[in-house]
Amino acid sequence: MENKEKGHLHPISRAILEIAEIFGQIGFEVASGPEIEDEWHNFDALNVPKDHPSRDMQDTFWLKQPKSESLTVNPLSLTKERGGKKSRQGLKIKDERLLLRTHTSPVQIRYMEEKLKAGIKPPYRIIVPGKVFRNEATDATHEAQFFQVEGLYVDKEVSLAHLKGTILHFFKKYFGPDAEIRFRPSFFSFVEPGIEVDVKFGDRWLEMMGAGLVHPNVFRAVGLEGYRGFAFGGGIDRFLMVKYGIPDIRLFYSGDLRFINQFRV
Amino acid sequence: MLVSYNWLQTYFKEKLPPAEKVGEVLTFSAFEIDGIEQKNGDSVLDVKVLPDRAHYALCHRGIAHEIAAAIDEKIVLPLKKNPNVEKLPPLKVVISDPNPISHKLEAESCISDCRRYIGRRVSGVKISESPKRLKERLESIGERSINNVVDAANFVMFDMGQPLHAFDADKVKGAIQIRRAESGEKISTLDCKDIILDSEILMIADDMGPLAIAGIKGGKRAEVGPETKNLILESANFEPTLIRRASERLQIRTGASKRFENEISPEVAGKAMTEFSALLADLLPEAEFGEVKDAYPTPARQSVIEAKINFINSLLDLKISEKEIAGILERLGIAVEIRGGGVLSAAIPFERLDLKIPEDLAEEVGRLYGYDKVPVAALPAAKLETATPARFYLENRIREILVAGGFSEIMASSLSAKGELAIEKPLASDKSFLRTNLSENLKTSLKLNAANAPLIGLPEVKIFEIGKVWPASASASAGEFGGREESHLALGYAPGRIKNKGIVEGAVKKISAELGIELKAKITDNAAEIDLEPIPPKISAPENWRPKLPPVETTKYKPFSTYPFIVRDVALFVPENISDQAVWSVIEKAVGQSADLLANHYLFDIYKPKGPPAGAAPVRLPVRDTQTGAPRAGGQAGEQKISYAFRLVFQSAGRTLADGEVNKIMAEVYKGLADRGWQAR
Repeated sequence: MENKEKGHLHPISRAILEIAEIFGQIGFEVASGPEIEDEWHNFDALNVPKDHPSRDMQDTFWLKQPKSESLTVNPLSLTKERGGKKSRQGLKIKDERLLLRTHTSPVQIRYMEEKLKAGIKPPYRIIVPGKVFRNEATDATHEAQFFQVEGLYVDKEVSLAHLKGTILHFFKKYFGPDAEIRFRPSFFSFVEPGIEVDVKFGDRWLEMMGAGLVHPNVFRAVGLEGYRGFAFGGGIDRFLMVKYGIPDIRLFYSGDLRFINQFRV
Repeated sequence: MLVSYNWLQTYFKEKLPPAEKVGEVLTFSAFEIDGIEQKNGDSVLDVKVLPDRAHYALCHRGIAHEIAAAIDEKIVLPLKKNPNVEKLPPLKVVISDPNPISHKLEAESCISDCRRYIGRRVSGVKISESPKRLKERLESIGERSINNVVDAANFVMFDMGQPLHAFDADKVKGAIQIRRAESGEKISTLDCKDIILDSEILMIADDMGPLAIAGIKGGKRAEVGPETKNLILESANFEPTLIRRASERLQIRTGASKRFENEISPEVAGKAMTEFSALLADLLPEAEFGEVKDAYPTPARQSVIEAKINFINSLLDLKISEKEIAGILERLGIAVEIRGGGVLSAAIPFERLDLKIPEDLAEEVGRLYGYDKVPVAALPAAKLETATPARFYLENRIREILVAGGFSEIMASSLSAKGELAIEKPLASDKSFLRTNLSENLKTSLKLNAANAPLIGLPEVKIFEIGKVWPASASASAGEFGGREESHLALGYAPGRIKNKGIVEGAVKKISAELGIELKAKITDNAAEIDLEPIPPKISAPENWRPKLPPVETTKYKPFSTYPFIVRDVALFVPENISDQAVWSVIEKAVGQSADLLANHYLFDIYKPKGPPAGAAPVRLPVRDTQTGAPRAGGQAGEQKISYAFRLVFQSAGRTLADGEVNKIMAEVYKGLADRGWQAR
């Protein structure tokens, strides 16, 4: 077959749009943040203390010391922000140590900080699709870079049942109406209780997301009191690998149309 | 962590469920199981203990407690006989804490270098091989047996989670001192590595110098060996951060350092010394045990968490009774007292350093009650008009425009061989910087895809990428990074069968026109790079903007062959009334059995002469019957013809195809066409 006229959207871009659409239906907005992060947003504010074994859960690409004050990162693409000089200036990173963000979770912090600064209190409902980095050897299931989608919901009364309902809604829309999920105990420092979410494919359960109720220390870090929340995060590459039977995560970043052109839109 | 099923069984009076079942119970109540291995009549479970529970669960007793709580059984602690205390020479222990560590993490946490040091003399020991039972226990979890004393220390560590050590008492001169090393002090470790120490490293020392790197590794000088007669036993507790930093810096990771860096309650040191002594007394009936010397400047206090029953239930969205919640917590060894007003007060066992706030109790209740019982609830209704951030809108609008214009999207690595921002510990030398542009990767991808264009069926290659880059800013002075993170778009073109001009420029113009904003592109060699940063403030997403998402046709990904491919084109004239499909079915039939080598095929040209142009001979093929050489009916002079050109791409899934092989297939194709009286051009 000869391909004519229309090009092909990268499967990850397509997935991000689908995910945004599914969560948009239940009131979640898209938010984003910089790929270079400071240690505070990526770890400390998320209740991962310095010199703590929980930092080993994510192999980090640290950057050689740039003059951090002079480094400007993207302004947050906050939903209510329209134009203005502030967004052009961007955010200055003050923290000493810089890194490539190991997860999209720092955007939880940045979003809440910005909202509170603007005097906007919860409820918040956001999803954060974006690229993340891990300093680990690459193979068919590990890449130094991949995409995650983070979700954050903050309100007065929030329970694990809300989390279950939201994640189930997503997986049913994304993988099909027969999708089943289950919760297992797990640990992510920025949630308590911490949950691992498995999704059933045929007769196999596959680990698909980390989740939980937002740890009070995270709210403390941004200065928010009297609220609860849930958060979740999963690898978009992994969703696609499972959905389409893609055997190797490295194909996503190969720049090879033998791969990309299989995804027809 | 490896956990022996037979070892766990020693904690239970009743027979445990089979190992697979135990694994399942743990999976849903506490820990993921990475695997179960059958080994010499035992089952070894690989239990994934995450950092929150590593305080108490990096040992068999911790795991046994979890199983007991999950299946609502009681733990039976094995009865051990404590040895009598004999009068042995006194042992002196001196903890010299420098200034308390400055990075105070939590107000209530103890920040001394050494929170507790328990020493005990043992005399009249005989070093020998361990009995079979002890060896088997250690070997089941992959630990090498060394001798009875060392094995006993290791056994108690894997049993209780408390690292222990034994020194040869006759080689220790003077008091046991716990102090920071002086810069330049040296130690030769048990595995004969010479290490130079400094003040960031805590030592166990005597009057002559270092005996051990505290919490990490023993030293050679007072090693327990075959000649050892007298021991000094150590059960201690060190500051987790200090141990973690030292072990990272020295690149020495041991079972002890792993447990200390995860923090252990100093209370465990006391119990472990009792167990260590009892086990040694059992192994060495002749040995005499001195008094327990316990330096414990600030004893740990038991923590109490107060939580409302309603709060726990509301996090889980369950209605568990007060009594049942208390029952679940008591299964974990938590002493619960119900106060008035639906408040419970939970006295936390010392080793459960992970339990600090009411939310932690909610997790304990939730996981043991069962997360499967948590209901499914929808979020309260919210305003459904969600706004789309300008950046997200912009990038996806550009994708929409480019895809409609025949461009395909790639994503490449953010790491590259050169750049402005360097990675501290890169994975590879060509990935040691953050990329400063997208064009470079795009050009590599253009080359790759141009080479594969016939295989993929691309008349030309048009690709783009949208992603973050980190270029230097113009104002940056040498050696300093003064740049910023920018969102860029790059698009590129490589000619294939079709060669067009101005594709890149045209695409940039098209995007500018559709967005109504002039894009500034840097164009080099058929690729354009555009900084998107200035755009978002100038545009905004329409109210309730939704991307247009046509249904995906793809259901399953098909792996592609990476072997070379061979291209053959077939062009022929046939009578006008013959369709291309009719011609293709003849070719397909001729390819026959070799169809699995036909990786792709397509009609790439149709040419229909519009009658004989004035002054030129009509384009006509001399089509003859191959059998007789006589003109066939279809070859009548003056009949209208049509020309089809097909491309056939051959490739094997498992090997490199030879030219000869493809020539043979093509010979069949030409024959098949000729049989119909069609001659390939």
